[in-house]
Formats: sequence, structure tokens, C-alpha cells
Amino acid sequence: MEKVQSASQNWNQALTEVGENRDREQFAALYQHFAPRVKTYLLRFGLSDAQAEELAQEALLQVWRKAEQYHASKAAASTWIFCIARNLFIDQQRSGRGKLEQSTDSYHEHEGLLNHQEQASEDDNSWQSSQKHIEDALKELPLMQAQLVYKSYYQGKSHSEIAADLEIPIGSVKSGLRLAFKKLRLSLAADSFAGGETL
Amino acid sequence: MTFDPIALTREPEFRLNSAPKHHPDDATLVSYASGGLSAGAQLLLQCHLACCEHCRERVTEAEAIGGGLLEHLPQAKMNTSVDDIFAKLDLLDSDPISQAEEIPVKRPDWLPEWAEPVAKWLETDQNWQRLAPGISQIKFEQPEFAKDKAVRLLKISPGTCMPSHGHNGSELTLILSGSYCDETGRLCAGDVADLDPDIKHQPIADRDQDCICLIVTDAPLKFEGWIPKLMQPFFGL
Ligand SMILES: [Zn+2]
Repeated sequence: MEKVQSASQNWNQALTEVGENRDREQFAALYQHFAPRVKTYLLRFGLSDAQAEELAQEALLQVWRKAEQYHASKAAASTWIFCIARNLFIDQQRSGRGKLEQSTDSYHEHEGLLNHQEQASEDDNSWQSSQKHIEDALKELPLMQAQLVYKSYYQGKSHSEIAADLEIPIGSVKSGLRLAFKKLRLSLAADSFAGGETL
Repeated sequence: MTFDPIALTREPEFRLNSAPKHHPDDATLVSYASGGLSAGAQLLLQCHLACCEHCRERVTEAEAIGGGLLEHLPQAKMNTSVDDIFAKLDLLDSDPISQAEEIPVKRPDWLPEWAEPVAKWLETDQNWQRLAPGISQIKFEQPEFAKDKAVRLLKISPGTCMPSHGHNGSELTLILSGSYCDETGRLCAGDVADLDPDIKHQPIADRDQDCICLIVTDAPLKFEGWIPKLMQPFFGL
């Protein structure tokens, strides 16, 4: 029986082929799909356009360089690339390069962004359906929990920074994140990009 | 699920005689994965993750959420074309990666192998500074930890009883060696205490050996960690 691969698995395979065969065509596809999203991710942290551009480039260059270390059985390509971008950002902050304005905007100001993909290119329709679970799960969170997820993942804020931002006790930040994680984990378990067991 | 999607910052895995029983809060593991921890808290988590499979799996899940969220971000305009990138790839490929070799650091006897990342922050001939009878500390004051309220190692002599205290800010404690007991149970090497601010406890070091722990307080602005508060009567800190 032929198995239909999800878009997420296609990216996993593309990244695997870059690792195994230095496949440039696959890398170009990965670049076009992920670089603009990594840049948005970095912009959310408060980097300037030029800094975000440079770091997004660096992230994708690392993807090329480290692709041999990628194993589709351990993580989805999107997760692997997320980790690279996150680590680059952390390193940059620690090394003191690039000071940034702390952003204090909140989840609902960006909520719309989760719903529509204005500049979506044609390859996007396919992955949208495969990634439906996490999107739905995020939308189903109570606003406060979505806010906590937003500030953690898109602004890289610590519990006490979030507590100060939202003027709530740290204990509430932690319990809210705990609950949100519980729900998002469940949606992940039902999703394909948590691992390659189905491959 | 196995661990380590990328060998970028992760430490090697170790197996303790008995797996850790006290873990960081899920909320803390999420912040580790999302990049929100201060440098001190990240260091502490790195050590715990090196010896705790349970938490490695949790972090892997939290990172998968990050990957899912990345997929959902709108696309920013990249000014660098694929051709530009290929030109850079050519340069990279012709120039083998020159990796800055980390200078191996000497690990003191009291520091377990899985907590190796801590060694890098110890100055040579760094001595324990006595704080109170039975309690001494080494404080990390490198600029990297500027965002932390305090990052320190605490050495507690066998049988020493700490004053009962609560926490105002968030505070993480990792046991490196020895053990202590408090209301939450017995904490041994590898265990993490990640208590909610409103929980009061009174640790008592076990009698057989020194208890050494790494304590990270993430409490900017108005918050105070328990260590400064604890020491106030002795030193007026
Ligand atoms: Zn653990």
C-alpha cells in the first residue's frame, strides 16, 4: 500500500538528502521555505531587519554544514532548524553582539498571523494541513496560556520577565505554561512531526 | 524517543546509579527549549539533562512545539537570494570548518562528570568563601550571568540545618554531590528543586558528606532570592 507522506516528512527527507548527498536542489527548497520563517522568528525577538537577515542566513548555512548530523528518526526538520536558530540567537545575545529592544507586544496582536499566510507560496498548502494540530491546539488555549507560549517561544522571555510584563505572579506564569505544555504535547503526540516512527 | 536532534550545545549523556527523582518544572523545561532561560538557569539545566533521560524527552517535545510554531510564522522578505547562498556554500565547502577548539578545563574532584559545564566558570585556585558556620559559597560573577540575579555554588557541611524560608523569585537548585532533606523529600546528586515561590522549606544536609549544590536565582527588579535573604541576619547583605 502506498503511503502518502506529509509535507513535514517531505522536509525531513529533503534535509536527510542534503546530509547524505549534499543535494543542492533540496537545500534550495529548504532555504526558500525556512529562511523567511527563521527571519520572522528572529525579528520577533527584537532584532533589526539587517541582524535578522544575517542570522537567518547563518542559520541556513549551519543547516548545510551540519546536515549530516540530522536524523529524521529523532526530530522533524522544522524542529532541528528551530533549535539551530534558537542557539544562534542565544549565542549572539551572550556574546553581546547586537543589542535589542525588548519587545513587549503580546500574542493577540499577532494572533491574526497564525491564521493567514499572506505571502504563502504554493508549497504551503500542503504543509498547512499536516501542521494543523499544533495550530488548532494553540488556538484552543485560553488567551492567557497562549500569551505565555507566545512570550516564551517568540520572545524568548524568562518566567520572571513574563511575570513583570503581564503583572502576574511567577507562580501563575509557571502553572499556566505547565498547562499549555500539557495540551500542546497531546496535540504533538497526535501529529506526525514529533518523530519519524511512521517512516 | 531518543535525544539530541543536534549536537550543538548538548552535553554527553550519563547514567547515574539512581536516576534523578526530582525534576525541573515542565514550565522550566519549556523555557529551556524556547530559549528563555537566563545563562545560569541554562547551565543548571544542561547539567541535569546530561544525567536525566526523563527531562531530555520532555525537552525534545518542547522543541518539537518550537518547530511546529516556526512552521506557522509568516514569511519575512529575505534579501539574500538562493544564488547568493550558493555562492556562500561554495566558499564554505572550499574552506573546511575551522572549529575553535575548546580548551579542556580541569574539573575539581567534587564536581561530577555530568556537571562538567560548570567547570568552565570556575577560576583557577578559586576558593570557597565562608558565609556562615557550615556554609560556604563560590559566586559566579562573569558578565555572561548579568541577567541572573545570582549564580552560585553552595557547600553545606554534614548535618547543617538551613533556616526555614520561602522564595519570592524563581530559584533553581541542582544537587551536585551529597544530599539534603526537606519537606519535599530527599534530594540527591542530579536532583533539581524547582519550587514555586509560595512554597516554604527547610533543607537539612545529610550527615555523611558535604552537600554541594548549584543555585540559580532569576529574580530581576523587585524579587529577592532566598540565599541573600537567608544570609541577611549574618552579613546584612
Ligand atoms: Zn529530570
